[in-house]
Amino acid sequence: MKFLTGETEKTIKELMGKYEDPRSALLPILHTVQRDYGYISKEAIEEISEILDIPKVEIKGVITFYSMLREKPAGKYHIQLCRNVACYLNGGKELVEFLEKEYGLKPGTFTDNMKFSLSLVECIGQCEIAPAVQINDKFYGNLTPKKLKEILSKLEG
Amino acid sequence: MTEKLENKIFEPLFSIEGIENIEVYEEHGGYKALREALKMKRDEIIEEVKNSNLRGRGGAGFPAGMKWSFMPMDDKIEKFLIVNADEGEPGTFKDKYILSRLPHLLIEGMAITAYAVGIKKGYIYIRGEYEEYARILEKAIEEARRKKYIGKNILGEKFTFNIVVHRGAGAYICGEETALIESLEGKRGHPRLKPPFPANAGLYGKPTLINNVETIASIPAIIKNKGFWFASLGSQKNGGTRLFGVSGKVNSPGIYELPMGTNLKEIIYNYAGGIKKDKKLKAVIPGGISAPILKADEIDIPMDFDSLMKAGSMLGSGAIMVFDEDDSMLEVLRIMINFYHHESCGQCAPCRYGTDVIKKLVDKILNKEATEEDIDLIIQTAQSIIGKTICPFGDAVGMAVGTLVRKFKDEILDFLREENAES
Repeated sequence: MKFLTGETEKTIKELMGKYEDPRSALLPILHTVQRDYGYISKEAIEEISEILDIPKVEIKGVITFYSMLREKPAGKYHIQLCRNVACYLNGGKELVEFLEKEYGLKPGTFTDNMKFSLSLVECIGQCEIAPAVQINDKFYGNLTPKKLKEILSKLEG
Repeated sequence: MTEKLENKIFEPLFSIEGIENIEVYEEHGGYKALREALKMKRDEIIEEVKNSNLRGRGGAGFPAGMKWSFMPMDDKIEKFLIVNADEGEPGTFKDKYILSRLPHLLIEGMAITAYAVGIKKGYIYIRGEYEEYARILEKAIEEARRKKYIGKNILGEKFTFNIVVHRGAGAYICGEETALIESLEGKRGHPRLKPPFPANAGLYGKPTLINNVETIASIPAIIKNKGFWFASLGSQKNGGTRLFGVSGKVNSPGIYELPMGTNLKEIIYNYAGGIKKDKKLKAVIPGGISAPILKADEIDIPMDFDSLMKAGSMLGSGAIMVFDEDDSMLEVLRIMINFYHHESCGQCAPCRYGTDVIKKLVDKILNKEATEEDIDLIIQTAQSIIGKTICPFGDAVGMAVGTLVRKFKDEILDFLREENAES
């Protein structure tokens, strides 16, 4: 049974055509699969391995090398909180404490309703608006626990 | 770019509403430099870039014109241009402003570069987290294609150039140019042993020119106003302006476009508004986390590549991080070594093992189980990594960590002497 179908399959074909060597499409393909399915499953890895004709172990090696790629689901809203110098010394640490206290959200975990997940990441290029987080593809800066709560409440709907 | 000669390249454009759209960009002189360049001889363009004293804005500060001239000029050879938009050096956020606000300036710079060096295909390798900005770039590329600024037979000339935006996926090391190439080839980002340099064997083994976003985005201004004009904006051997990104304990964090060689003290106090809450300045990291830290009394210094190198630090990405008297340097050390430990690609033993040893020693300090000898061991370990790895990551660990611990050893000792104050 084919696993990667419909739009995902179409996008993969398009991506492969952009490069002189189709293998270059591996990262974009993994991004696409993760976007469409929430994470990169065993089945997806097997099929990508066939499409690009590269061993599964190499794909696995690539996935584990890059921090944005995951083999397990994340929350509907995935929070990446910067733990580097500019953010952490300017209120980031308080945000981490707040998320644990208020939402029971520890780095690497989900909220019970699967709405939010959290990971601590290195610099996300938002140092001038520290402390900052990235939620899915959007950046939010100049945060306080109160502001973060407002943002998360809005997303929660 | 406006008709009169500005003494800045980016700030006048940043202030124009809608400049990310091609029509607005054209109204303000956009793509005129490309038209001019296509009338020039290719070696004339390279000569202008050499005259400009433009040096790589990614961090290394290598003269751009020289890098270009390492590329083979034979057009029968397949060649590539890569723009390094993998902005990941902690403290750095400057390229974000070009990518999101001036995508056409970057595209125009790429087209001129490609024409000068004889390249038909360009990639923008953008960090995975910048998904929003990648979409802005894609849209701008489509606009430029429709107007014949890129694509086949550009502006009716016999020149073809296409651009593909490629997103990374979260790995600091991919900012190193050969790791970036590996990553673009669909592999883990492991730096390659040099030589061969990318100009000889880069992407798919073909000659490849890699430049930072800010470097390439400076090219249109150099073509319009000439290389010597650009050189005159900066200090000796350091042409142009620089986008300095100031963060940390200042009143007005943000980016400031200033001449190369502007005094660091002036940047912090005159432009970034001085220290928050009138606290005392403690230290400054002048060029991203890999640039060895300066103490408060060391900041009366011109911000150019050579002056900072002389002071034992580096200009790097121009990312200035400011610390006040309340900031714990031990906390900075903890964050720094966790970062390097996490981001070491693991290829070279001195780096892989060295970051691990230092991380354990720092944890020992944090648990108040360390002695002065452990602190010295950190300095020794850091020193032992320098010069022994494939890429400059190892040198960065050694210099940044070693300098921080050396300069703030007393603070760490004081922490160890405190009578478990917190428990």
